[in-house]
Amino acid sequence: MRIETCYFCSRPAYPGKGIMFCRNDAKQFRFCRSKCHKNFKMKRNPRKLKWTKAFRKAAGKEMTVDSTLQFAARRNVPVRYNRELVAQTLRAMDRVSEIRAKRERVFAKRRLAGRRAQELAQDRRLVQTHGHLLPRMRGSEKRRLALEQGLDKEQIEELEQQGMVAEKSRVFGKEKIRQKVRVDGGVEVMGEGEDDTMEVDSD
Amino acid sequence: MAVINKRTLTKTRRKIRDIDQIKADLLSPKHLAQYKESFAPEDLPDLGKWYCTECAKWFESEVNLVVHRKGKPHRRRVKQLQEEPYTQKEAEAAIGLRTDNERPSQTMESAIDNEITMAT
Repeated sequence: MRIETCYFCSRPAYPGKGIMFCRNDAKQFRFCRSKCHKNFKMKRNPRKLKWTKAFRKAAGKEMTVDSTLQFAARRNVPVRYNRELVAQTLRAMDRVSEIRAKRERVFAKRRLAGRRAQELAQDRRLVQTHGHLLPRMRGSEKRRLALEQGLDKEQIEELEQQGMVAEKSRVFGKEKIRQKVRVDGGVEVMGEGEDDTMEVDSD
Repeated sequence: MAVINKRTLTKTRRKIRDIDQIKADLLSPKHLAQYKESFAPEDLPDLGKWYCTECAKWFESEVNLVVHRKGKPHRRRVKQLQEEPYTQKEAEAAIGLRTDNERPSQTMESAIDNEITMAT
């Protein structure tokens, strides 16, 4: 009895799990679940599907070069039973998988480092390009006005319409000056402050 | 024959050649001949005279075959055949599983044998 590897996604297929397809040239394909089987029948390439191990390995998403990955092997030559050897192997398996899990965690952490900065930059870009869609006055600002100055709902709305309290969205980095056409037709110039620094940079 | 239903297309009785089989066809004429022999010519379009190896498909006439060779599905298939076909070995390599067919070292075997002989 053997734990086979799924042809499609490389998951283990335990005895009694999944399905095996024997092609008419006697080649066998073992699948761990119907998802893999169906995808195979649709003639999809496992290298191009993000959820397979083949893809993850090729895309550098998983640890591939490591000494802990050298132990597992499909052995086709039988070894005579030796109680001591089995006990030792079982102990080693525990230890190796422990070390491997630890290294995989470190690998994942290193791979995802810098993700936060990337996301922040992306968010900034979004606010910068689509700032005109933001509400003119924040909810917290409205609440503050209602509490401190005792304004009515209508008064606050009026203020909002006038754009009295509307903040100018800031321009980050070396962005150029750009004009924005608001939904209501007004035009807003952004990034005037950056003008000087731009010239200095170009000189 | 217009079959659009995916469920019908994926039936085993409608199985068409896999990419690795087509690759083998291209590399070895014997492999291709064996496949073609498995069909009776009278069952094939125009007695099986016009066959596109890359797409594993028979055509009614030479014109049809030539037009097909210029088409997008054919070019797509040719591009697909340029890379190595996916194998079980690759699936196993992805989880770091290699194949080890080496015999266990002789010294260890003999040591075990000695123990057994001593015990008996």
